[in-house]
Formats: sequence, structure tokens, C-alpha cells
Amino acid sequence: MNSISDTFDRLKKDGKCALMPYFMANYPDSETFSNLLIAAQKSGADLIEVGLPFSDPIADGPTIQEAGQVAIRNDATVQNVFDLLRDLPRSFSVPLMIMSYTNLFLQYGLDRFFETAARAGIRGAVIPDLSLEESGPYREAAGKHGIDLIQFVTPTTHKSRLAAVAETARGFIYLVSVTGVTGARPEKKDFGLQDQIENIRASTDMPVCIGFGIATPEQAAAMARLVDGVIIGSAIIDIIKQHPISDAPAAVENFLRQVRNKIDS
Amino acid sequence: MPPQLKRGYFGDFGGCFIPETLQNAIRELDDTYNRLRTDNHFIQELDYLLKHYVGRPSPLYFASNLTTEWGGAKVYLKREDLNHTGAHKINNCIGQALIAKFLGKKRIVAETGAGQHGVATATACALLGIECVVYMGTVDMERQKPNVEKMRLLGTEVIPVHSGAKTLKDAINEALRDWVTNVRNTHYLLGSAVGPHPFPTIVRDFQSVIGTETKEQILEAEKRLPDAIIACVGGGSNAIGIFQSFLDDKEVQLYGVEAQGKGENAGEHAASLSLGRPGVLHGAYSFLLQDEHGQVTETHSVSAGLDYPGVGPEHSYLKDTGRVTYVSVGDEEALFAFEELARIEGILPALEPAHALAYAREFSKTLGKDKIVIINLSGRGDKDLGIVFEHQKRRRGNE
Repeated sequence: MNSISDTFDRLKKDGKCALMPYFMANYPDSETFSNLLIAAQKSGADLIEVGLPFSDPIADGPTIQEAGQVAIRNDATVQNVFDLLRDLPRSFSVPLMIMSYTNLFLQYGLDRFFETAARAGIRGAVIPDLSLEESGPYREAAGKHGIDLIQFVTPTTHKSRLAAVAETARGFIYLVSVTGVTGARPEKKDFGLQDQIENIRASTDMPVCIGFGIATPEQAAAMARLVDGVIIGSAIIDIIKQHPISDAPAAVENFLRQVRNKIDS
Repeated sequence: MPPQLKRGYFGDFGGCFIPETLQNAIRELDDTYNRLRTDNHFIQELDYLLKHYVGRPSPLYFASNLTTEWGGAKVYLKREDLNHTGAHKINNCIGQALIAKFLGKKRIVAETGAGQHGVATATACALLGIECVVYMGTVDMERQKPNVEKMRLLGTEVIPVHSGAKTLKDAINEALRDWVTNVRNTHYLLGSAVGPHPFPTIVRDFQSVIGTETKEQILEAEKRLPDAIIACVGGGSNAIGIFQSFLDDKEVQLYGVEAQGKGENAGEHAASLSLGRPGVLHGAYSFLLQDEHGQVTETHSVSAGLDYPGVGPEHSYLKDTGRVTYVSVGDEEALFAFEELARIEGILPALEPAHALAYAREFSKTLGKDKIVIINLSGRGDKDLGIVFEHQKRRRGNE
């Protein structure tokens, strides 16, 4: 499995923007979750974020909160999810990232977490409640096992902070599109991020990916013109919810194909 | 290692685990608070309001009937129940609402469990003309109804929280999400000594007026320091407030009393320090009730204000150093202490400090009559009448 930076190097050469879907582990159940990952690969996903559910996800809106509750009931523990990911078919080769909250990493043991994660094909970690100031030991433990700890920039991140972000960032910069929590915002025409993107570009040549709020292929395409990757989470969970479980992977594959075509055109 | 890395820690505990979106607001709050704490204008305004609006100093009352009944040490009650709005919560709310005013924030959000912090926040906002939104779990709205009505009368919007166990922890989650969304014009008025740095320090500082007064009052009444101070601990703001002035007086024993609810099994209690292990919840590393995988577990206490799986990081530190002894008391003993204080002293305590009273009841008996025990009576019990009546009815049914 390629590293995150290999993936962005390849995309850059091809002049393409990364498509990065998010799936909550074991949602709607563990078998469908595996099938969703495979469907995402077929539709042309470059990287996949896997959510490990936490009881108190303060950065998530209702859609991911509810999916997380289902995932906890479906035994999406750290160990079970890593086991599942390690046992995916050999043909599955999309680099994976883990998105979860600080306490799950801490309770499993930082070194043990990243060691097990690396063996399960994880290349990146996204921890929304881990601030830059607290991130040192986590970045170090992740790096030891070849995993990039992803750093956030938001619309409220002060310009003076970007140098520190750039210095510590690995893999790519996760630009949060809105001042708020996760959740599809299909009605939003313009996220008004041009200035912040320019600020980031001025401080680092690290790839920039946008997440939170992106719901439609059109929004994704508009973002793709500005940045190096788009992350789509809640909108995918909404699609899964709208379909019978057996139809969900095909429906998601179809949606991601539309996004792929739009951002590539 | 950047020097700020250990900022906001009490030993190994505390820190600032928050989404990047809040980082700027947290820094601004930290800087502003550090400037205001020594600003004469701010101090004068706060002192004026504490004296003339809140009614401070609150009395330190020698409970002679209780002393006779328990038959041990002399028992004093620090009467935070006599503050405006009926609990210690207002001390912190006035302070933080003034900070919000200095920050130019037009809107305040808060969480509430028992409703005491919600009412105190609504009150401070009414006084200072700031828009106020309070998040409250639906279970707590049901069991603390009078406080919901009060908040609405004070012009506050109370937003029901349906997620999780529908209690204090879930209300904090929602308040944090609101803050993440509206951070530019909104201050989060956190009600206990929990959360990310600098909240545990700010809340402690505003509540330390309890300890400062208590020390002066006991020295005046007894010409000496007490032998023990006992306070209930949910998040731990009233306890950290009264302990603060006595931390260096090693001869004063300090006791924090947690809620043991119905028992020691997961889900039956809220005794984070006694039965939990350290983890990160709501922005801080501190003792936490969680399962083997790190999922926060549900809690139970008859008292909504203690029904919380976490605890302030400074308490975790004080447990670690051994300076404070943390114990726990169950629902039944707290309810008994509630009724006893009403009958013997004519004071209705809130169910939260009723836990401290229940522990003091047994503890004071082990001390000689020349010893002195102070209990922080952190709030009054009007809000709990429904729960107490319910309990009495059930007990009569069992007899």
C-alpha cells in the first residue's frame, strides 16, 4: 500500500485532485462496511478515511454521531476494526486513514495503536480533538510506524499559527471548510475559503484537502479547482441510510463515480 | 518541546484537547483572563456584584443541632445555598459573563445538569444584557423542572439534548458543538472546573472566594483552622473553590465526596476518581468513567449535578498527590442526609451537598468534640423536592 505522499505525488503528476471518502467502521454493519470500501476503490477513491466511533464525538454533527452509535453497537472496537481491515481482499490497495478521538488512541496505548494500525494498512491518522499543542507524542508514535498525523486548519485558524502548523504537518493539511461540526451542507454555494487557502499555500507546499460539509459532485468539483483533495463523509452516510443495506455499496459507488467524473472534468 | 506544551496542566492532568476551530477563541480567552485578573476595574466590578447582587460573603454557620445529633466534632456549614440563585454557581457565572463582556461577545452558551448553573448563567446574562442559550439533557429537564421554568423566565432559550444518556455529559457535547459553530460571537460559559485549559483555572479562581471567606470566618469564630473540610464533587467546582485556601495548610484534612449512586458497577454511579481511570473527555486529561475500549460509560446519581463521568483535572492531581481524600456516598445516604438537615436545622440542602453531609455524618462521629468540621453547603434543595417526594412515596410503598 502506498504512503499518503506517494499518492499525492502520483496525483500531481496526473494533474488530478484526490477523492477521499469517509466511512464509519462497521456501519451499517461490518460486512457492508467492507463492501463499501471495495466499492470506493472501484469508483476511483485515492485515499479512504475510516471512522472509529467514540461515545462523545464533539466535532461531529448528527449524521456521523448516529452512525457512530450504530458502529459502537456493532462492536467497532479498535481491535475488531484493525482485524477487519487486515483481512480485506488482496486486491484492495487504497491507502487508509483512521479518524477518531484522542481517548481511543490513548486507551489502546499510542505505540501499540499505531503499530497495529500500520499492520492493517493505515497510512494516516486524523484526530479532531487533538490540538497542535498536545500532538507531539502522537505524531512521534505515529511516525515511528510510518503513519502521518494529519493537521487541521480551519477558517478561524489565525495566520500567525500557520507556520507552526506547516512545520508539524505530515501527509496533507486538512482544511475544514466551515466554522462548525461535520455534516452535509448541500445548499452551500461558496465556502469562501480562497483567502485561507492562499495563506496556507504561502506557508507550505504540503497538499491541501478540504473536508466537512461537502455534499454534492458540483461542490466537490468547485473545491477541486482550489485544492489537492476533497473529503466527503456525512453525505455518504446519508446515501447509505437512504438505501436498503444490500443496495448501499452500489449506490455509494455510483455517487462517488459521479464525484470522480466531476472533479476530473 | 515548545514551552507552552505543558501549559494548563496540573501535574499530569488537564491540557487543552480541542478542535482547531476553537483554538483562537481559547487563546483569546486565556490572554484576556490573564489581563483582567489583575485589572482593577474588572476586580472592582466583580467585587461589587458579588457583594450587592450575589449577597456575599455567605455565612459560615455553626450547626449546633447537627453537632449535638451527630455527637462528634463541631459542624459548620458554609452557606453557599444563600447566594442569589441558590448555589455557588453564580460566583463563576458573574465572573465569566464579565469576561465575555470584555471580549465583546454578544452571545453565551452553557450546559447544565441540575439546572443550577443554567439558572445562574441565565441570571448573569439577564443582568449584563447578553443573549443566552442553555443546553440541558431531557432526563435532567424532567427531574429539575423548576429550574427549566426559571431559565425561561430569565429570557434564556433552553435547548433539550436527546443524545446519549440525556444528562450533563451530553449537554456539554452539544454546548461545545454550538461553540464550534458560533465561536466568533459566542462565549462558552462552562460551569464546572472541567474542560480544556483555561476553564479549570478560571472556574477555580472565581470559586476560590468560598475558601477565602471560609478561612477568615473560621479564624474569627474559632481562632483556629478547621480539622477537616468536606465538599461534594461532580465536576468539582465548589470543592476546588473551598479547598483552594487550605491546600497549603497540611493540618486541614480535605475530603471530596463523589456520587456512588446505586452501587459500584458500571452505569450505577458517577464516582470518577474512586472508580475510573485517566482519559480525555471534554478537552482535558483527567479521571474518567470508561469501558475497556475507552468509550465513556453512562453514569447514575440521584443528584443531576453529580451525574457526570469526568472530573476536573485539578482534582485528579490532588488525588494523585494525596492532598485530598476522595470518597463516595450512595443515593440513599444522600437522601437521608437531605431529610435530616431539613428536620434538624431547618435547611433544605441540594442533593449534591447532601452527599457531603452524608459523609460528614459518619466522619464527624469518629472525631472528638474539640474537633471542627466544615461542610460546603453548595446549594439549596428546592429544585430537588420532586425527587425527594418521589423517594418518600416509594419508601412508604415498601413499608
